[in-house]
Amino acid sequence: MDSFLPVQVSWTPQTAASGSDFYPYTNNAGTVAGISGGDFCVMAADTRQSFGVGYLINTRYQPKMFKLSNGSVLGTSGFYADGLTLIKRINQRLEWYKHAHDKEMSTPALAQLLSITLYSKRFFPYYARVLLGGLDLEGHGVVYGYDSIGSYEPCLARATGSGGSLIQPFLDNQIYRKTPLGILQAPHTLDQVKAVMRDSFTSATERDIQTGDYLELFIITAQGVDVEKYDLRKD
Amino acid sequence: MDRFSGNFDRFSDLFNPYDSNPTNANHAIGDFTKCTRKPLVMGSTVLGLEYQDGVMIAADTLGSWGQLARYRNESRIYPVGNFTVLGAAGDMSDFQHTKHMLDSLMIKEYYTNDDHVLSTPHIYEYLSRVLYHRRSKLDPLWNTYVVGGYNNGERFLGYVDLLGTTYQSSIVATGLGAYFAQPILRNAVEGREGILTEAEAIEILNTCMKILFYRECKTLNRIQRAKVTADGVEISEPYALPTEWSFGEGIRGFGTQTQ
Amino acid sequence: MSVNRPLDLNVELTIFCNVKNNLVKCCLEEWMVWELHMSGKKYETRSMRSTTCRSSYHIDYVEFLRYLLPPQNLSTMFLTRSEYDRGVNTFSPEGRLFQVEYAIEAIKLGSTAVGIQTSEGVVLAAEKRVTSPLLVSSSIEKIMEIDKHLGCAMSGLTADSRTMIDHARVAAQSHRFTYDEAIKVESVTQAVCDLALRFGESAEGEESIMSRPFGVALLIAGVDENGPQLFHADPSGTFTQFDAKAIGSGSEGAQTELEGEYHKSITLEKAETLSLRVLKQVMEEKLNNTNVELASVTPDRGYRIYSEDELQSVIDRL
Repeated sequence: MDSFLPVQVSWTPQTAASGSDFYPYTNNAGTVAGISGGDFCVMAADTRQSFGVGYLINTRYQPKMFKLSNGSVLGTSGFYADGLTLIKRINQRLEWYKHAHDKEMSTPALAQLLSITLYSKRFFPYYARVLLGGLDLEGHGVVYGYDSIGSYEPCLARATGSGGSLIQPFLDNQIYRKTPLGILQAPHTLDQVKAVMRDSFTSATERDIQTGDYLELFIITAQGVDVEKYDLRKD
Repeated sequence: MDRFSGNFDRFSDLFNPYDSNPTNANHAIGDFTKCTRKPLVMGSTVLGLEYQDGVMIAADTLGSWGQLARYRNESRIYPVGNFTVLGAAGDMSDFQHTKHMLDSLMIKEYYTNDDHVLSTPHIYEYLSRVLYHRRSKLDPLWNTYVVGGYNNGERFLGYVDLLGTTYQSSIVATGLGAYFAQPILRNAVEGREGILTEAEAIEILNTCMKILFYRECKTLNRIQRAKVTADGVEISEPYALPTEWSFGEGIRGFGTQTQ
Repeated sequence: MSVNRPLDLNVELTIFCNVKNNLVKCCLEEWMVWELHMSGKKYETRSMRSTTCRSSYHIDYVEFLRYLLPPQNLSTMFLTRSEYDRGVNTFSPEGRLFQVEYAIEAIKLGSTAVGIQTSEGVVLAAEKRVTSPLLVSSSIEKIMEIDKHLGCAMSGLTADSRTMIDHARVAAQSHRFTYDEAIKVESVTQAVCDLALRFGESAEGEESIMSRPFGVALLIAGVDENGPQLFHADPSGTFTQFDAKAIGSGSEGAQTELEGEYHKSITLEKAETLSLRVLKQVMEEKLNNTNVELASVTPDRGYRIYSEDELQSVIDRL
């Protein structure tokens, strides 16, 4: 899935020269997923923050998905500090854009901005698995999936983060309807999508130790963003 | 810090680039004056919890120098302003730097005299941005901080480490405390923050610190506690926790007493 | 009549007047000619190099005397102006930036350009001064593309517009790169105007790019989510939106004409002919398909400059 993974080696000239044992990343993990519908988009993230090394849970409730000022929703997993910094930068850019161009940035515009923001740190990347959800210019739901250095694509359904590899095939089946009989795409209602999303996270929580505690669903429609919170297993 | 027993002999120490033992020859020639890539005097666990009156944190007073229990009266809890307290684990010189930095910040805010007071979330945000910035320069402040506070009836307890990782929670534990004390704290505190009395909170922290002293070699039973309530910050004098080691005599099948 | 006398003007300047054919050839500092323009009179300012002074100008003698000879006029002129138009960024005590005002005057000498906004798109038209039959008229470019949805007509020191158009193009492309969308007409106009006051010594954090203000006015036309729009940008960095606007030497007459002829429901086709008709009235030469340029920006086809054939068919409709 995500092609880029920083590896724990002496990875820059500076650290290589000094033999530093400081590694500037950790993986606070967590899972983020998004499904787009005809006139809505459902984004979801668990709220567990892991320590990154070993089995420690830092906290059961530290949200990693945020509604942005333009109505889009941005979820990050991976290195929490990087994810938070990225969101701060994006929020700042949204503000500047609003003042410079006298309008809210559209979700597709933000998708491109997010891409180049990630790429601007190509050689010291934000170790963040990012998912952006919202509505496009026509009002259709969109989900943009990224890798850590800015490659991105719009998708119908996308899951990323520590439980991403567990959820993505399920979404391929349920949303893309990729079955042995071929691709049977069918429109989904908001309720169906919400149910699929909750099932996805319930299942991911069963198998991924870094996913769990609470599920936050962000439902994006033309009316705005609703947030719903559900319990997940806490073990 | 090299904890692996295979490397305890002097020869591997000499050539081990990862060893932070200050007696190691590596340090005499390294440029460790430029940035803390290797911590020297280290503090261990800090614990924090929310209770009905506010926030309480605890830390022992040991500053370890490698495996040596070097400084036994090192205060690792520091007040920032009137309603915020900072507890530090990790490198003590970086902690001193941070104290100095936060003091400067608070003084600057004070003489600006604009009726703005930096409350705990502000101080926490500032500190976490500093730590993230330093990690991004690959020149980290080698600490884990617990920030506790009580502002306008709101409890605040946050964690930030040398990578800039942050979280807020009603219980916080650093280092080995995250393994030994966190489960105890979760059981005792989570969901009861609003009803936990001060006496109970003290009891919980004492218990946790005692367990840590039993289990962690870089912990002392001499601890300090701080509470932040509507009345402000109160940091206790260091005090010793009573410990009980006599049960060790009855244990067989361990160490030298194999019979 | 031949006058050849030095006028001591109490400063380091000396003016020599040489009257011939009711024209005075006077050698004077550049700023003095500007001064005459500031007084609201139009003078021909084809400059001729001379060894004794900076430049010399042919100006109408009678007019000239009326302005220069009364001693009151002279003293006022030099008391109020002598110090404050040296530094390009120095305010006069009356609160004026003379160099900027002079630059605004400079664009009134340029060839005329017209822009008309309609609900179907925006039309830009510009006069080309074909000063010699040997001049290859297609080498004069007064209307340029900024992006596929943005065009720009200019008047004044068109060489200055290179910097501005380049900046506008970079701003437009940078916006596409960053946001994957077309930049708004107003935003690109703002970007150009941000440049306008970056002359003189550089401000902190900003690189100064020009020693003097731009001597060019722009009509920026484009189509974005707010529909077809026309903006006017002048050397002071001020920009204003117009339904129809004329710039350049014939702008006064042209603007009056536009004000009379423009109406909100004008079609693009009518705007094409109106723009050329207005140009025709203010041009000295007879309008043809080589001495004007015409371009349009429409939602469907974006920026498009008209070929000579297309131009001819518009002229035929006049």
